[in-house]
Amino acid sequence: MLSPIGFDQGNAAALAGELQQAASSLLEGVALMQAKLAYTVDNWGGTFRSTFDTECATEIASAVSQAQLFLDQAARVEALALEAQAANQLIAQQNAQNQPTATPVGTPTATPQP
Amino acid sequence: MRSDLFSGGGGAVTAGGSSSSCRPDRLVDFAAILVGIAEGMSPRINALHSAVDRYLSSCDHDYTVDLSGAPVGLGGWGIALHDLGDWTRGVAATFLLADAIPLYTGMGGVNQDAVMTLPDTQVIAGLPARFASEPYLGVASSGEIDWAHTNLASQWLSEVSKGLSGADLSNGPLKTAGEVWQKGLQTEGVLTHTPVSSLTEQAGAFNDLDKVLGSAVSFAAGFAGQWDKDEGLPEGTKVLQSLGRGVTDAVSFEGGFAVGTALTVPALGPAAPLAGLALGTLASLGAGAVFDHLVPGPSVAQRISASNVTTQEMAQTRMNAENQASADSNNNPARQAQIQADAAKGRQQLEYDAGVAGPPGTVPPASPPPGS
Repeated sequence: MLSPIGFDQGNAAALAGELQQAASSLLEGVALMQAKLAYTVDNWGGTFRSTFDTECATEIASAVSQAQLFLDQAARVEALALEAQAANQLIAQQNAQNQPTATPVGTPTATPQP
Repeated sequence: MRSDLFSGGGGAVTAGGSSSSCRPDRLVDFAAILVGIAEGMSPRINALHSAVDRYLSSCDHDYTVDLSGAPVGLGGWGIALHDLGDWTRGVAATFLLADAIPLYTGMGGVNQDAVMTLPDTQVIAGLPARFASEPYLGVASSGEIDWAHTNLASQWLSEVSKGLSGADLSNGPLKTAGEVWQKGLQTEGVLTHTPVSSLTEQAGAFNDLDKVLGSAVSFAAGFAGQWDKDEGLPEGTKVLQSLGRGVTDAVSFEGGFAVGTALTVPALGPAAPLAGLALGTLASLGAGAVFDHLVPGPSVAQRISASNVTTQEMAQTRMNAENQASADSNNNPARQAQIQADAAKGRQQLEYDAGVAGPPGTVPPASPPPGS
């Protein structure tokens, strides 16, 4: 008998959901920033403005890249969950095939002929 | 009324050195947004932490992804954003403080939202103590960004969808794009409503926005429309017919990619684990995410899972659909060639992924001549 793979599908699905949520939160944050940036920097000039722009661009790039990473990871979690599920189905099939056939009750046992 | 004492042009250089101009009230508002976003991340970080712990402790190591760094990454971004918010508020505060005394004593004060100018030395002196050693956050001056005409997130989105082939889709990037598309489309106001009857029209509107998305929505529209039409038929029949319609529509979508190639399953024989691979392929697609977003009820993967259709039946359906799309494009030889090439490429990639063929692009070993 092969042992099934220990895998909690619910926890995997929950994690994939959390990763997607985290990515969404990051992208929502970016969208909020983008929506207000032009308005905020209107008539802002000087070295502080340059610092601000550079930092905002860095944070936006970082958020988008982090979101991409989370979504990739979520997809990997889901794919591996399906692989585990398929592997367990295969194991169950093989175990069922290897199960010795039960002898029906009352069936006379063949006696070897002399 | 605030005085015009501090009003002036941006970035002027005074006799005493550089100066800065801004509308401090707007900076205060933006700082609050940054801090709000950063603080809003806290519950998300905690939830992610718990989910990672539960996942790693309950799932076999061979079937898990190392995600121990995920909450740290999210937390790090939140901290950096909070810092930027504090700094921005600090800059604004020096301007507001400089204006506060004349305002308080009734000696003037500038209009709210007015542009104010201060020497940089005064701004630096007014910053919170923790920024004293790095008033410019260690950033070398690199000019200004025209934010009104710059959307870094959109640029990234177009990069994601650029040049993707059907084979690329099976590797999962469209899952990434699918989630992000939804956001982008909602922002663009494209997906204002989602009845199935309107999906086909919406797909047409995506030509300029994102061709891959157009294919994905075409798939969703085709699948959902057929599903509704087949009400009352056995689940297996519904799945196969809907899959066929979705793939045909996705592949036929003008200017789109051969999403259908990877949307369903490879014709790889009866090996049971491939059923998992097939569903994984489907689930990893942006088309799945788009479908799930647009169409109420179970996801495509759930519908397939709930039916008794086999891998081979789905593979056959996919090939029939591709052939149908190819035949439909008879009057457009270039499109027909593209569909056929994408289909072959996608199939090669899937066969390679499943370990039953060499890398895409390699020529299979020639069969020995008869009689040798």
